[in-house]
Amino acid sequence: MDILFLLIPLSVCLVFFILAGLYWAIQSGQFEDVQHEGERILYDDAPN
Amino acid sequence: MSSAPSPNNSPESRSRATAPINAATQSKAVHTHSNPSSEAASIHLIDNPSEWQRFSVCLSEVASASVSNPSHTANPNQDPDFNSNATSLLGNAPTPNAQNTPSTPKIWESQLAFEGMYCGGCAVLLEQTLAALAGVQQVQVNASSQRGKIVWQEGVSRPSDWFLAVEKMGYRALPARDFHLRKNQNQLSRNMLWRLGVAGFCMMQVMMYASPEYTSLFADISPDARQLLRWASWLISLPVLFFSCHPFFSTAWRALRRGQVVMDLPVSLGMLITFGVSMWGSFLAQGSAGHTVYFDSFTMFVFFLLAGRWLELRLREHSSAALSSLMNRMPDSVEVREPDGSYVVQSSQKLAIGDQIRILAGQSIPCDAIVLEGEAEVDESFLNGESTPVLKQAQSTVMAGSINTSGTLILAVQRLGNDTQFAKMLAMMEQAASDKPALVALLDRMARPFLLAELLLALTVGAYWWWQGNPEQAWMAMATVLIVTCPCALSLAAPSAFLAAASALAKQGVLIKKSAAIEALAEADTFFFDKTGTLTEPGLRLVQVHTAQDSAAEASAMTRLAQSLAANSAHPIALALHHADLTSAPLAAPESAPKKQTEQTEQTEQTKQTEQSELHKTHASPPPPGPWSRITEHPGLGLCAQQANGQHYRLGAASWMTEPSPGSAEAKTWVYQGPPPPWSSSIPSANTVSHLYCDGAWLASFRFSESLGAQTQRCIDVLGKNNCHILSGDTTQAVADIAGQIGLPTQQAHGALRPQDKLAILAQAQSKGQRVAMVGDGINDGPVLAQAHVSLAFGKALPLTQAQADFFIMGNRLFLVAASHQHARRTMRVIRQNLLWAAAYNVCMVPLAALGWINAWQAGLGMALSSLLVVANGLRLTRIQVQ
Repeated sequence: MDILFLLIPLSVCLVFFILAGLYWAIQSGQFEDVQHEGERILYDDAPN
Repeated sequence: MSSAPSPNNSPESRSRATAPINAATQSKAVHTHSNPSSEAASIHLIDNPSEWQRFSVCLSEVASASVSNPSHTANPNQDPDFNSNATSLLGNAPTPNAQNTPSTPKIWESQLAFEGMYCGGCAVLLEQTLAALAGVQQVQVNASSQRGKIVWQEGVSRPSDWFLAVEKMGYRALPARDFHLRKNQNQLSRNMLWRLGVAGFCMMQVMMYASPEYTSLFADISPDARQLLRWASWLISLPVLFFSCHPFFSTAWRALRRGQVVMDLPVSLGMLITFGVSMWGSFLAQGSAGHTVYFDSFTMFVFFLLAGRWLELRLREHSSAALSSLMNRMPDSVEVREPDGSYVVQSSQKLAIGDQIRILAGQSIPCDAIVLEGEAEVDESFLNGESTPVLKQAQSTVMAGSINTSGTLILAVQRLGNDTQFAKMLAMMEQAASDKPALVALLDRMARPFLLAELLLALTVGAYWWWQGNPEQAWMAMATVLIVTCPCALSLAAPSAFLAAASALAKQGVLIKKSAAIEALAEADTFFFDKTGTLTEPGLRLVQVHTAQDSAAEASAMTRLAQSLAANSAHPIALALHHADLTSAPLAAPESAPKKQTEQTEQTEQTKQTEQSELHKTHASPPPPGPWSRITEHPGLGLCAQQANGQHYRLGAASWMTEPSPGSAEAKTWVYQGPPPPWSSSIPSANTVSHLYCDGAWLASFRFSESLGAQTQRCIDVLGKNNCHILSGDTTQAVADIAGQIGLPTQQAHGALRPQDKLAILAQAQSKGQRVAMVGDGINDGPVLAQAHVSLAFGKALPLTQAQADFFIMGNRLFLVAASHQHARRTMRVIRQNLLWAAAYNVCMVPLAALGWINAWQAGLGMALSSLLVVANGLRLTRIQVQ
């Protein structure tokens, strides 16, 4: 079970990365209009 | 705000300001046809920097520090807010171009509100439309909040371009004047979501690390691994403690500094102790192997409570958005007389007392004024009884906020801004928003004795164990007691139920302003209804036709004739005729004595069509009348016109038929042959009657009445006939009529009331100890709605009323009033159940913990399960059971 000593700290680091990503997503307004943004890929002429 | 929101002279605001019913395309037709230059001029008022800077922020100064990497394509996926962040995480921020030279035009970000967005596709369409304009760099339109951001270059793009482009597509854009207000609120809610996200994500991680601890009861785990897992749990709980818990700590601390104890204080204490004990048990205790840690309980607890807070914030935000959106309107414009006698369009803000202004039909009046010239009917629905247009002539006064429905008026300004009646009325309608329901306030009051009891108990337990000679056990026992008494279930009891109920109601189309409203509605036992537009369908209905021979064929022929004549008017009677169903043309039957056509009817508008409806009857009827000429509407009297064969017709009040207009073509052929014969009637009624005359000879009489709304009967039945009252400014007869149709006792039907009378009746009921609910559409009900314990804005209510009322019921399903009442009652039941459970849990567990009969991990698990139970019970409310 020694591998745990690598995996667990690694996962903790990963958690902090993910939280940073969450921060970016919230601050850039990704969560404000969830439905519309999700539909965006379906629109024809919208530039991506 | 320099002045109270005064209605402007645009068609859209007329439709908002005029009450109940259909949108004002009629006024739009009148307005844009008669005054296109005024409308266009008012749009260009927005090009004035002092105007558009109110809803814009300059980006070029803020963005000067970021990496210069110009991007010109309209890229909806990148938010300008983020781009202006100098330390962008991705390191690739598209910035406004050419930052290097000082003479470059500035880049601004403006926010607009949109009307007419009914689908997600609309947002895309608007984005594409606006992105195609010159000078516009980025557009982002949010479909759910119906707002959009435009990043544009000053000098290349003009604000009026956007508004005109949007109007061409069939929508309407308004400057978001509440820009700065919303920006702050937006940031607040983002922060809250961020905290919630952190708590949630960390909770899941911590639980994952904690699960081996639970399973280690059944199998072995090496002490190293256990310690590693605890370290990891501690590390991940740190953000939760320092960041997500902040709202609770700050509330509790602020209250403590004021000397008050709110429920947040025991909650915060519980959080701190849980964390502290767990940390101590992980690292600092001698032989920490034996201690249990509670990181998972801690994070879960924080997550649930934060979720409640966040949802509550969203609820409040939603309703405050409605109120703040009233601040959005185009710059008010009005035609002002120049010294040389010509009229020029100016901003209403620049009016001075004594200025002479011209108001055309369809426009609204921006200030209190006195009429100098002209004659028109003015809709004063804000201020007097039912929305009856009032005739204004020279020397009469008009109020700000009223709408000129017909004719041109030249006015002299008397009072402006906050001095106007309208502004005073708005001020009267402002109410202090008290956020907390009584139940939650009760919990806060209970917090102090609760806290004291908790601490006392912990100290007792600790002292007992200390005295027993086991200091370490003393600390642990104290900690366990404190953890067990942590009022998590208690704090979740009310919010979870309120929020579930609010979401269920929202799905049905009932919007709630604050949780306290649900409680107030549950307690309501007396319901006051406005009559017109609430209990009855707006507008009139043709119920009877009286002709010379009283035959079906003649009745329908006369109705068709009247219909084609009335097609040229927007008066409620004309509309009723338009909608009359000729196949079932009612015959004259024993009914009322004829009443003169009075101003008892409401003002409705609709799209006018000049062609008449087809007749579906099979038997022979005279050919349809030809086109009308010389159509004139006389305010307060009726409509007159001429047929191709030279005959003159009049449709209107009986008193008007006697004298033709002197000097007109009518006078030549008009020979008055006497009043209309009486209806063969016996029962007096309040219905409106209109007569059709041709060259002085009576042809037919038409009777109109109001019709009951589709769901009215069901709603009143469910609420209980003894609990419902009608309050109306209409005549007592009309009100008694409706009451009779529904089955209400006559003493509960009050008619001929002025707004202050309505207030008096309400206050009287309240003084008798009744909990009063008021249901209305807000026209002139404003102060009454504010006075009631709980107010429900119904149907096409005024936007201001929508924002002020506790409940806003969309559409016109009156039954939702009864359904909401029942659901509110159910919510309170669930909350009481929750509180009972939470209290019982605490009361039982505490002695067990104190005596050491339960393990610490059991306490933690119990806490979590108890919270889950409370939340799940609340979730039962997400479905409305409609009887």
